[in-house]
Amino acid sequence: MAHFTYGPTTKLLFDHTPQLIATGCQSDASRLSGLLDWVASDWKDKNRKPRFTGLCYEATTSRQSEDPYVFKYGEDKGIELVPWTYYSFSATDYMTELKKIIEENKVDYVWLRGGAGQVAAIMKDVVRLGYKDKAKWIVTYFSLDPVVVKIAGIDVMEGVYGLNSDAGMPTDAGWGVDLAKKIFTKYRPKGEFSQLYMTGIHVAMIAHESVRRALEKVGEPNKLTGKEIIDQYYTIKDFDLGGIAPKATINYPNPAMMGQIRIVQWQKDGSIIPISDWIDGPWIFGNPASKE
Amino acid sequence: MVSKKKKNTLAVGVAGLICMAVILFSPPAFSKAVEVPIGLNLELTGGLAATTIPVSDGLLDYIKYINDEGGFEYEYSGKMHQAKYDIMWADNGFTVARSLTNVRRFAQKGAKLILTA
Repeated sequence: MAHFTYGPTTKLLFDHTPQLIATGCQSDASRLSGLLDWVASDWKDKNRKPRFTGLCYEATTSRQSEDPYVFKYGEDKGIELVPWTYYSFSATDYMTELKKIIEENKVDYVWLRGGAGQVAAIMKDVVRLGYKDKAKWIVTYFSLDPVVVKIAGIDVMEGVYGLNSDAGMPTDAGWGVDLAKKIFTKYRPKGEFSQLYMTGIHVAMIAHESVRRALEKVGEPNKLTGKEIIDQYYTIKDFDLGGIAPKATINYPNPAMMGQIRIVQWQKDGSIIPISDWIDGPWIFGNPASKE
Repeated sequence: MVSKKKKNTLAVGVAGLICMAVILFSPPAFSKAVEVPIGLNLELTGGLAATTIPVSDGLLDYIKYINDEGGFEYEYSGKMHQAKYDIMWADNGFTVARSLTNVRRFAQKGAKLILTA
């Protein structure tokens, strides 16, 4: 079977052959490298280097983001990376972690790796402790959702940054975004159209195109194999997604559907809008040319 | 008065024209829609549900939409064919164990691909 996941590329994917997994996006290490490009361009103080860290829930996927490649990448960009801080998945208070990051480590940019409920609770603590203006807070890609404002409130979230990858934002334009909105209205009349919903559409669009191409090779479903579907996945080049995401070009053996990231920011009306262009993140895990 | 023979000729001619019109203006003939078994391993509950529910919804809705619109076309051996998805889905609760169970179940039921939130 072929497997299309919204999750990122991980090192574990390459332990088994044939590699039949397509990932929604590149590794966190790759996306953080793109984020560090933005930090380097955003930092204006010439007298000292910016300090960057991650505040993440304890999980192997979070640990994987703290990759030596990222630290080297930051160093090369003139950014000082401070080892990540981890919190329990079930934590409800983040004061200890935040005090360490802001008062002891004096960090300028904090990447928040957590679910929507977690980052909302963290940001509430950030405001409670008076730290909102002490650093730039960057919510990770899987929590750019309206529910964050519902939990934390717009006063807390206004001005907070986000790391956008996996798909575009609802404010993007194009036939793909219009189609996604139409599908959402048809099946989810009471919900709120969001970036995360677009992410699901993005993965399904690419998977569907791979299946369609594979059927054109083999003729009928009972002749379909996972390998044929994945082989056709790698034939996707310059594929227009109508604004759901940048045009897709899949390059063997990189399993990621999308390699770009973008910086977004919460607005006073609760919307989240892009404040940077798409930035290419380097391909790290699984790249034969990478030294990771 | 139109003779009986002429009437018959006229009737045959009209019938022929109708047949030609049907052939000319009908959509291309497809073979019967075939089904591609697909498994959706969704995260509808669990610790990251606020994140994974909308992603899961997007995955499921897009595939459902394709089916509800009549399926999709593909070309093979110079002919157009029609296909739909045979959709199976299950919640994995953000756990590895349930994901494994879902994937095995989908495999046993002949899934050709799996989408995971």
